[in-house]
Formats: sequence, C-alpha cells, structure tokens
Amino acid sequence: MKSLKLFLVAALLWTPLLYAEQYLSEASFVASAFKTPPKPKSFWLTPTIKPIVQQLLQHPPAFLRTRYWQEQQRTVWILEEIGKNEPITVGVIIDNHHIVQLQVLAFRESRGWEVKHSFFTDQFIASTLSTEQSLSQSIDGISGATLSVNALTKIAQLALFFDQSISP
Amino acid sequence: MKNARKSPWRLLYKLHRYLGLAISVILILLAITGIALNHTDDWQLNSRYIKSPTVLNWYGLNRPSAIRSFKAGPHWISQLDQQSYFDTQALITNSPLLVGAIRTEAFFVLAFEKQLLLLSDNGTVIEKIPLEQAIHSIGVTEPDSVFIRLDSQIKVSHDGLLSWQSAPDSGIQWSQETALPEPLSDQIQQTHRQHIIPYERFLLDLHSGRLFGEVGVFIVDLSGILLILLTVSGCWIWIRHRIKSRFHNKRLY
Repeated sequence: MKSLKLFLVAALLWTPLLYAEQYLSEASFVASAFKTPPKPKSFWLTPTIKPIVQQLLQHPPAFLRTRYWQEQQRTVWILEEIGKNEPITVGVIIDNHHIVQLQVLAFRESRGWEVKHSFFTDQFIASTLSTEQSLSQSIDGISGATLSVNALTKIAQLALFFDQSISP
Repeated sequence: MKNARKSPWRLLYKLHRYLGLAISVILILLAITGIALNHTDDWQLNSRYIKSPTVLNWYGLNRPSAIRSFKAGPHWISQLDQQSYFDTQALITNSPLLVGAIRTEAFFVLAFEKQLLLLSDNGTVIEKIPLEQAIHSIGVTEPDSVFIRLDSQIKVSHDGLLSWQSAPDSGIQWSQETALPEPLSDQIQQTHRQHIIPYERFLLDLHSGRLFGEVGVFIVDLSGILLILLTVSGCWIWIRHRIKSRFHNKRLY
C-alpha cells in the first residue's frame, strides 16, 4: 500500500518536469536577432491594451509587463502561452511589422511538440496583423497538436499587436 | 436430456452469460470514465480538483508538505512542493526552488532558482524573468535597488529588473528563510492539499486501474481480454442461432 501511494504521488508531482525541454535560451535567441543586442525595454499592459490582449488570448493575461528588444524597425519578443496545461515559451522577431522568425524556446507539454519544428513555424514568416487582429496568412494545423498550434498562433498575434502598439 | 446438458453449445451459452455478469460492473465503470475523459475540456476536468479527504488519503497526501517561507514587508511568500503562495493566494505551479523574496517601493520580487517573479502590491503577477545562472539569494538596499547573489558574483538592478550590473557585497539586506506562523501554515497546507489532484488525473487512474496499483491494472487488462471473449462467443451464438433457424424454416416449407 505504501509503495502504491509513493508511486501515485511521485508520478503526479514529476510528470510536468519529465517533459520540460528548453531548446534555446532567451539570451541566445535575442543575440541571433541583432549584431549587438540592445538593452531590453518594458511594455506594460495598460487598461486600454489589456482588453485587446484578453480578446486575442481568449482568457485574462497572466502578466502585466513584458520585455522586448528594439533596434530601429526590428523588435524581439519572448512570450509564453499555455498549450493544454503548461506554458510554451516562444521567441518572435518582427521587422517592419512582419514576422521574420518565430521559434519555440521551451516546450513543457507532454503532447503537441511537433510545433517546435521549422516545417510548422516557417508558416508564420512574413505574417502581419490585419485590422481585425488576425494573421494575414492562414496557418495549417497539426492533428493531435491543436492546442499547441493555437498557443503559437496567439503568441504570433500578440507579438505583432505589441509591435504595432509601440511603433504604429 | 443428459446429452443436451453436456452439449458444448450449452456450455458456450453459460460461459457467455457468466462472463457478461462477471465483467459488467467493470465495463460500466470503464464506459463512464471513458466518456468523462472524452469531455475533459468541456467539463473542465483538468482545472477542477478532488477535495475528498478519503481520495486524497488514498493517494498518500495525508502528511503535511515541507514549507519554505520568506517574509517580504507585511506579506508571506511561501512554497510547498512546486506551488508558490503570496500569503494564502496561489501564484505559480511547477515553480523551481524558492530562494528568497523582497519588497521594494513599487513591487515584490520573488527569487527562484534561475527565475525572478515580479508581483504587484496585491500579489498580481507582473512578469516572469528567466535568468541563465542559478540565484542563491536576493536582497535589497535603497528602494528600487534589487540585488541577487549568483555563483561567483553579486548583481544589482536599478531599473525594475530590466538590466543588471556587478555590485559589491556591502549593506545588503539578504532575504532569510523564516518560519511561517502556524495558522497561516495550516491554511496553506489545507489549500495546497485540495489543489493537487485534478479530476482528469483521478479518472485516468480509475480508468486504467492504476488507482488500485498492479492489481487494478491486472483486473482492467483481464476485463479487456474477457470482453474480447464475450464478443467472440456472442457472435458465435448468433451465427449458430441464425443457421439453425434457417435450417428449421427450410424443413417447414
């Protein structure tokens, strides 16, 4: 009985950690976007911004401030969104309001990891944000990874919206 | 009459009947849990938690977990397992080890291994800041100057944790682990215990039989095999019955 309880509790507590995987650090991603990385700036979710963010995410945002890096028309955003249970960390490089690169930096879910591959993330390249706050390009889903696909799509929309908010 | 009783077909009928009766309860349980698991998102089974003390005790969650706690201004920041709390308010799950917490004029800063968490005055998460190096402790001097002790150096931020510079170790009030007052500790233990096992997890363990250990898994596996036998015997009986009734009809006409 004791070993059964220990097994159940251990399985319960360690499951999320077994799947935690970081592919690229935040610093390495930022360094890949600029010749000399600029100092980070902070972007606050003001009372006017917050309802739009909530609409894009389809739930209240879990943060009030996010950092970004900017040099002329190029901005870099590192954002997180929950796929099913755990947050997926994604880096987005935007140049002149177009996505140049979108990369999964850390994936912690047990399923849906296919979204980390370039065959999926390359679909976001050159996307812009329409006036209805949707992506200019349609993104093909991956069966069995719907929630992860949705999370990455929301992050792409959010990064483009933040980028437009700082330099319309 | 004696031959009919010993006939293999009669034996098959009996076997089919008793097999069905034997596994009926388990099949109903598997069907109910299976249907519920198919609607995990619709019924929010992964965000609603089991509160029954009997079930929680069955999982072995009847002992209090070790609490790490730090006092920051008038508030207590604590961590049980991987769940952190701002007084009794749950903050983030699956958080790394909490190493300290401080209060500046503008916000609270919680230091975890390789991560800082910025909170507003009412405990709302402002930002999660990942760091490349492990943090050993966090301290504060004048308002809005936050210090962190890394492996071989101390760094300070004067701009709301946006940038860091090296700093000497002088006059810094480092955050120290402090025992949580008992009433608060009891309240957090109770809250924590009731937010560990989501219904989805319980149903999965019930569906697979794991809730009852190896015996449970064996019974569910055996039920699966018996269900296959039941299907085969059912089809067999139906085919025999069909052939028999056709033959009987031919003889009539």
